[in-house]
Amino acid sequence: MRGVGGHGRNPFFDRLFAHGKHRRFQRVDVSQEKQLSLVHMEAGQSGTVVQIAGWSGMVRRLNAMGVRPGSRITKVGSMFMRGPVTIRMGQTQMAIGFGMARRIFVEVD
Amino acid sequence: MKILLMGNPNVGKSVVFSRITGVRVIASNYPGTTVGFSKGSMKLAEEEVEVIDVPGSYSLEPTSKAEEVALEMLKDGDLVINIIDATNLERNLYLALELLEREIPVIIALNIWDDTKHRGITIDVEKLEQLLGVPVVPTAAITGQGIKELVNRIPEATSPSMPVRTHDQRWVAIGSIIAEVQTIIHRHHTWVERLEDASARPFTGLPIAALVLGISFLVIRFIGEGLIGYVFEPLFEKLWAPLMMKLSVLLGSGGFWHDILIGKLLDGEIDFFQSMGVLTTGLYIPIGAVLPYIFSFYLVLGVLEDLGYLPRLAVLIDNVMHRIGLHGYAIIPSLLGLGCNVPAIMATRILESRRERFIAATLISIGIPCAAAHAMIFGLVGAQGGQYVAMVYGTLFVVWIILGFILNRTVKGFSPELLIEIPPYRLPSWRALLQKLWMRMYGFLREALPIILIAIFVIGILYTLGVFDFIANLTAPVVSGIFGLPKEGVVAIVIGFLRKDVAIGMLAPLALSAGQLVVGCVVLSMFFPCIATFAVLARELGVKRLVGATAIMITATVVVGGLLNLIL
Repeated sequence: MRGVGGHGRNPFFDRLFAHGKHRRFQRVDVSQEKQLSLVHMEAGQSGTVVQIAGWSGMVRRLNAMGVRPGSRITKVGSMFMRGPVTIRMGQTQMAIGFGMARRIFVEVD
Repeated sequence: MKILLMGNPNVGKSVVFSRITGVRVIASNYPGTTVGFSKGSMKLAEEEVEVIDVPGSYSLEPTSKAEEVALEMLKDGDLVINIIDATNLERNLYLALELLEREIPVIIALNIWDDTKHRGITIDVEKLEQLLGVPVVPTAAITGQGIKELVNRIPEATSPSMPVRTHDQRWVAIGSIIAEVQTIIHRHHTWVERLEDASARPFTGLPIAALVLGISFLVIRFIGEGLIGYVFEPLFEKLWAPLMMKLSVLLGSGGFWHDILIGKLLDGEIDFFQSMGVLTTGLYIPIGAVLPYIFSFYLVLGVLEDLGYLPRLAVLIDNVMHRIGLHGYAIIPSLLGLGCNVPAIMATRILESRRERFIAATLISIGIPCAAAHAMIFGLVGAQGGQYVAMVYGTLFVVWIILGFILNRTVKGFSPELLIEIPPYRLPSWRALLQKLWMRMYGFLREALPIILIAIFVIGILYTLGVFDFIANLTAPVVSGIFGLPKEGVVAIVIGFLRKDVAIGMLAPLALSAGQLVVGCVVLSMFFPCIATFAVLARELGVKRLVGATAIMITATVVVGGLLNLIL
């Protein structure tokens, strides 16, 4: 049941959710790239944040909570229909809204 | 001298505060429990000093109203106790460094110290003390460990006047501190962590949420109804009623004081809902009808709060909440509103923008019935059958959604994105849980009991003066024409402005049909919130926005009440 909560492994869930959900981003085949947005990462994948391409207030809030280039994070899962992405960072779980999550880029291990 | 307790959200500031001042405050396991501030005092070297529990913030650059409050308070503090979550040292050090750059003495409490061991974290406290240049004391506020030492070392607090750094420099500095003082042993995921992850994923999280909410609802009803049926009703009927009957005879079974104290007798008996005497209905409504639900609701809410479940619910519902102009975290004030709207509207401070706070506060005051309203709904409509109760709640829920949808389209601005820290699941401490429950029940009795007694007293007098007949005749076109209620129903609506629960006694004698009761309860729940909620709304929104919220409230009530009347 790897498809649960993420997308990519189970073809049924893939068709049902992953493509519909990120239709806008599907023009690029992201599967081969090493730098992904949080939104495109799969549940369970870990990596290092490389860039936060957002407005200054957003970057500041994320920074203060410890999310900044260089942070090690693991994606826990995401809610469908553009819901928030949950990550684990050190000892903390954190939920990040879709709009922010798609602006956070991670170099996947 | 003013001592400030500062730190990131959800590190246990309120627990430390309770420990060192003895003042009881509400503490929970979610970021943003404290939105205002609590003051207390403690003895320090024979001197009485003021201690302030400051809302949590991640940095000294505020991003929400609660964080603004924190920054504002720092300006006139004399000493800071910086509470740090020892299991999250790295992130917590950011605020610590910002504080150490300021000209204010600081002492650090490494709280939640008891949790570090099983998480495989070791921190070299002495080394940390050296590097930061201020005293660092490990504490576990929940059990009280280390609190004495913390207090003893307060006089050692100093300001090391660290060089003022930029963001990046601060993180670099933190990186090198962490490398020197902290080691983390890698260990396997515990089942608690698996459960945490499962609650965050839709396919497992949604069923868990449905289960949690379903069980909560059943438990609240079971305990609430059980208390009423087996404890409070027998108590009032078997013990209090005979006493009151004796008093009634003593007062001559009639006359002014009899009507004020005992109220009207129905078939020679006291009816605790309808008699409307200060000593009968006045005591029965707050203690017999509302208190049991206050108890059961806050017991269940307290468990969910302290477990750390609420932020997870916020994540699951974020999608839906965006449609009504809010983000998921607004579910927390909304849930609080099911107990009492006053703390709920205060809690909207955890939301980032003025727009969100306006939408959330307006929706709470209109669409979220409080414990007093539940008592009214169950007490009046419950007797007619479960489907009518469902109708009332269903209508209110639909109103909440549709109104939110409209507000989202019409109020200027945009909703910020959800960005929250999700606390780990923790087993609630029963002592803390019961203490919190007691505070909330006591708070209810202290606030509500006097108002209810006075309200019933005033109603008794106004009745004898015939004022209500005058109002009823004046408003008859609206009340009867639009809502289809008898014109005396307006009295309940007017009284509902004081407190919702008193209105039960006003609607009960009108012998309304089931449909009319549904309309009456919906109108009463939506229309003017009680006076205490109104005062809080005015303070939190400002007069201009309060007028706006009130206009929305009146319009929505008239439209919904009218529609319901047409349908039913």
